[in-house]
Amino acid sequence: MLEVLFFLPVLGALLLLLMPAKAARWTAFGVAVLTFLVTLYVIPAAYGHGSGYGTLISVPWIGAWGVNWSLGLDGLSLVLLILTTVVSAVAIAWTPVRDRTYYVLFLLLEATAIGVFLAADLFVFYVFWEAMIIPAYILIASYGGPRRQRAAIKFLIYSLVPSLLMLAAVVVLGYEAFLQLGHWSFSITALSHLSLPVSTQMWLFAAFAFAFMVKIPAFPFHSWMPEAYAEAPAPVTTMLSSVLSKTALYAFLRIAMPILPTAAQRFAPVLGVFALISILYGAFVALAQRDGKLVIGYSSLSHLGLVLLGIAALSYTGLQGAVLQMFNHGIYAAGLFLLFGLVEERLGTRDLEALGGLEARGPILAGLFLIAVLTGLGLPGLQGFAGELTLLTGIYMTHAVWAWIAVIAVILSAAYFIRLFQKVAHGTPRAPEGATGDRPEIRGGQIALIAPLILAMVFFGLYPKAITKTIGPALTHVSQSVRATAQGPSAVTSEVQVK
Amino acid sequence: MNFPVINPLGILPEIVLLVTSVLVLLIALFMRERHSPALNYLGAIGVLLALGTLPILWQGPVQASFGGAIVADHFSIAMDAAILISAFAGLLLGLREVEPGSDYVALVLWAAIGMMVMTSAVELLSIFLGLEVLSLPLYILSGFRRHREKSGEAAMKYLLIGAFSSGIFLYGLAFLYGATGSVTLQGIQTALLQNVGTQPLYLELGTGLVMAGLAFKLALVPFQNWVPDVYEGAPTPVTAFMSVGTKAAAFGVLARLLTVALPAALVHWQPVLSFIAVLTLLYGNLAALRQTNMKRMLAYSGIAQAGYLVVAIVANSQTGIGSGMFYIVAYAFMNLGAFAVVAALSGENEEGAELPAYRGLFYRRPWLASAMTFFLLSLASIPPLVGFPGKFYILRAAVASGGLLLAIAILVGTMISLYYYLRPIAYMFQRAEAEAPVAEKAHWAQQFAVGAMLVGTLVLGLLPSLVTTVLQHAAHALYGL
Repeated sequence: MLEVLFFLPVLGALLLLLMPAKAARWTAFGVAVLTFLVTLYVIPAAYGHGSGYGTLISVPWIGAWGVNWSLGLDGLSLVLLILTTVVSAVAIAWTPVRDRTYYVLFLLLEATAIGVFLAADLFVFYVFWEAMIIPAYILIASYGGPRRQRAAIKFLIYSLVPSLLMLAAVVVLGYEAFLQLGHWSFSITALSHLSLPVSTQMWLFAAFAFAFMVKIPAFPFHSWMPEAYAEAPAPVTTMLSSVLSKTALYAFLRIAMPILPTAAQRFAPVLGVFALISILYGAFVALAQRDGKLVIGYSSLSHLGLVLLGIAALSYTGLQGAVLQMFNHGIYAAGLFLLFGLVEERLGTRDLEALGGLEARGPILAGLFLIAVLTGLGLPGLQGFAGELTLLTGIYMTHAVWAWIAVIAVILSAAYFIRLFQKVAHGTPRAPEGATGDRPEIRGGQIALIAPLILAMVFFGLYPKAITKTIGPALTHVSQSVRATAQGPSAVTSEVQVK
Repeated sequence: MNFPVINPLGILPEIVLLVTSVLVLLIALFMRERHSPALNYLGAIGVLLALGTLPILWQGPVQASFGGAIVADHFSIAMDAAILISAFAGLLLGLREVEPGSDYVALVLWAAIGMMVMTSAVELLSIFLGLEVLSLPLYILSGFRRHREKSGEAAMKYLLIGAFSSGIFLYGLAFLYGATGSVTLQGIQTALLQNVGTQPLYLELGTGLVMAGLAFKLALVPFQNWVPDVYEGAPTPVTAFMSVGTKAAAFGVLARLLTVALPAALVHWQPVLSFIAVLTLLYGNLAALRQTNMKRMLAYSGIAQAGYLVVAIVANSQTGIGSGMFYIVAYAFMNLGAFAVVAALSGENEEGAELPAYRGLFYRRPWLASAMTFFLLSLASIPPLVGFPGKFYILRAAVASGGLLLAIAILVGTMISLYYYLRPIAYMFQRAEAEAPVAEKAHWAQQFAVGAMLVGTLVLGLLPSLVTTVLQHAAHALYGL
């Protein structure tokens, strides 16, 4: 069934080419919903016996090169697949676009992201990782705001250049497999059993980490983000922030850490420092932003920095918090970007100084936006809180100082999110130029679309265990592989002595 | 005097092309209208027939013709396929931009024959013969648009530099003969291995001059200067055909010469070629950055691609040769495709070659623009298009032969190339205020060529294993002798 998850949106995209443009939006939505239902259907397949993938399919793809078309599903990928398919379905139908191509590209973007989360072979992963960039680029370049060209090309160059370094790392890993196993292999499981010298591990990890950090984005590789987030249409920004950033964080857990555990150990402090800078920098810039969309964008930089810090802390709780918060952020960032996108569409501006009074004229929209904002700032009982708490606990366990610094950003997060809401909702109602009518209220269809996200914010706020239970076995595997090398030779010798 | 056994079976595809060209010329005599597209179609059918003979030859035993001077082994058959594909594209694209006619068709077919002779020749003089048969028609073809000044300039440049390089090549062949006393590649190998009567100085000179001669054709630094002017000046269909066909032929000869005849001289040629490869791919990519004319941009990109091909040869392994052959096939599809779009957008004045013509193309000609996007992304080696497995294959060969630095050079080159491959794409997705001048509608045969190349780019990108196994066999032919 795993292939279906990927091929369904692809076939849907092909189908759209044959459909009249009028039906494109709801056909695309139908395909996205169907993909989500298939994700629900494969939930049982994620649980296997013991560690490793619950389901793994592997078919020779380029046999002579040792490349297999292999897709795997475990708790970790399952959680992110659910996030991807839910967010894609909501975002794809969010705004009507009178162009088939938009929906075709959107479905392709979803399909390639699904591919990244499913890939169990490094070559397959690389193919999806790169292929994902193209629909994203075209979506920004042809459907974005006035300065979309520059934003799109910047996104493209920032994405592709580090990927090529990653390609070098992929080839070298395949060759190492050839040297040690006697045949070229890119299977992630097989590669994680190689024993690589530390110096090799270090530069391979650097290549991977560079590519991943650009995509998250994390300081100092984030400078593509403000333009791309600002210029892309709201649903595309949602995909960039909710889904694409998660592919990079996921790749740390799925690829970089299990395959290169020693280097992950050594690089962790560096990652931690970059993460801390992202957290603080993102928070302060968000406080000072006039552009509401960028407040949300920089809040993402800050919040995802916290996730990266949790990964760099290398404790099990830290990883657990990281994945939990990856899921949570995906949901509430989607809610924030989509609802704010609606505000922008109805009131014709994103400038916080020009907005105001939404509460009076669109109480439902303002209410929904408030829930998303409160989730984002980590109000207990809503989704963001559990993730942040677990993260901070996990970070505190290994690096108390990091945790203290990170707490500052959590406080700032409340400040800029409340400021965002006040500027949008309170104050005197204003009708800036270009506003469409004087009724900025959200309509029934869009309430129904956003409802699953709002419900998720509440449900997973009350019951985060649904996520942590699912990801448990996969995370144990990751943290063990890193910790096994942490104890290093001593652990090995003690075992020998016992024998 | 004894005449060698000709064995027509070994040169069957060449014979098919020759018969077609003669037929085209004869039929043209009896046609009322001299410039009829029917002649191009006839030529294209001939090329397809020649392609059809390749599987038959592949399955049979190795055929040697002319007393063993020309051999139809798996290597040459695979290279022939790439050459024939480019000839096919050249004929279809030539329907509108060049005045269709018997002379154009015949010249393209003859050049293709020369290319095919080059890749299957295993004896020095036959290689030279092939080189000349390839070159002479191309000199004429590049000046085919007589009323365009640039076209005449291109032809003149190409003729002078081509003649010069032929001389150098021939001089090198003479030295090789002098060094080893043999004109067959096998004989040279044996002489070198047994080290009987070899002259080291002659050997070095011969190897160097032969490589220089081929470097002209392959457009390697420092012998690349003619390329941009000739590619720009020549009619687009000719440029398309020439860029792929000539590279395939020169790659075939270089690979065969170095691996069959000169493996014992590895220490001489490997370091030099590595250096040239790096220079070439860096130069090609850097120089392409500043181009605003698509044909010039593709010319410089072609120089860079030649650099990647040389890395495949330098890897000096069966995998290396296999990766080079795969890259030729990949290059054939994506490069011919890109030129096909340029041709489809061009009328009399080649307005489709200028970058501004691409502004907003996606909104005016969505299919053509989408196809061009795919070709350019493939050239930039983005998966899942054929350029990516092509690049990956070469990287894999380079890394496996200890050439990590070469692999890194390729990646650096590719990073630079992103800029100039992506720029036209960015243009195509801009919404243009003013309509750029673009020819009305592409000829159906041009659209067909674009479509065929797109299918190749996509299918081989998704399923490279369709041909990798075949090419691995083909590469084996060089080592299995």
